[in-house]
Amino acid sequence: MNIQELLWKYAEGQCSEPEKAEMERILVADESLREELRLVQEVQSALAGMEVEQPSMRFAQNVMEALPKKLYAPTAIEPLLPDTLKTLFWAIVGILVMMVALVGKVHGPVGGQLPYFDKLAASLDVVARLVPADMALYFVLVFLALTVLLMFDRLLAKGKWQVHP
Amino acid sequence: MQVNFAKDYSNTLGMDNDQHLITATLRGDQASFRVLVERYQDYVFTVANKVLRNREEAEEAAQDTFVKAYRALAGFEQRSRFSTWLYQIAWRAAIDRQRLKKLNSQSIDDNNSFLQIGDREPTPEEHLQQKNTKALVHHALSQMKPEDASLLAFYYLQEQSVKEISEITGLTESNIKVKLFRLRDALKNHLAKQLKTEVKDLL
Repeated sequence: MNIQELLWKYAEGQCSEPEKAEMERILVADESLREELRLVQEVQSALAGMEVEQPSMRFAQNVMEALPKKLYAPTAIEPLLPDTLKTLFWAIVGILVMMVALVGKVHGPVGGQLPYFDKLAASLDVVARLVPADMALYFVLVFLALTVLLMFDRLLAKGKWQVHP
Repeated sequence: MQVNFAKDYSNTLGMDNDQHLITATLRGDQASFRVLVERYQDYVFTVANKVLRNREEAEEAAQDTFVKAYRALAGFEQRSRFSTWLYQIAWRAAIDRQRLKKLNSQSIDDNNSFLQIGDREPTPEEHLQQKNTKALVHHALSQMKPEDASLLAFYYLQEQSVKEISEITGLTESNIKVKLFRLRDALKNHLAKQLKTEVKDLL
């Protein structure tokens, strides 16, 4: 490494201890090199003082307007659950609706002249009495579990919930 | 030791943050890309302006850079920092434009380009500005070949390592080290010459 390279290295503070000692020994003896070091430091300081330049105020907006619009459209995520579970869910809903409707029809005046929702409650009450308690419990649990699973799957597929690794 | 006088967007936190923004952009959230644009627009514009030395053209080159980066974002493999990858695109966009302009009659691959600091006489206005060494150095930078001036900008302004400058420009690390040394030494010699002239003028 020549003396000029060493001078820059010294000015940047990158010299090893022996190099630094050697440089300082030369600098003490050589006035012209001391003048060179001063110039090197001036250049270093000026270069370090370079300033970042700014584009026009509308730059970011111009870039956004120039971007292709549908290059990275939100990706549709396939539902995780199989269609059979959906079928099962709607089958349970269908069975429940049919049972309530049938009970209402067969028992005719269930609830008499009561308002619509009271009639429905009366029909459900009859259905509940017709179905054994443990079977009804399983039925309700399966129905609730399917409802939660399907709702969660739907939210994920819409991208409303995202799982970050 | 490099001195950073600009905002440091390149720390680890910044890299993580860049990655989240990139992921969100790839999921279709363009607003995330806008954050990246606003974060790096000044540096990309500075790189382009150092090469092209014309604000309008630099702005067009900077805009092209971000559009190209957006299109190629899915292929960004994170082997380097996002900023390094972006500056690489900016550097190429600016150099391509500069080649088209054919501003310089000599080949821009001329390895002696670092020796060329113009000796054009400063205008009276420029002379007034050259009252201190900082102005003298900046005047000399504006006379350098654009590619050379941008190497110094990468090293000092954007605090890029020699390895990263190598990735950006495609030059070898040893070539960059030699160029950086010779460019700075040429600046020092130019400064010495200008100061001597000023002293003579005073006498």
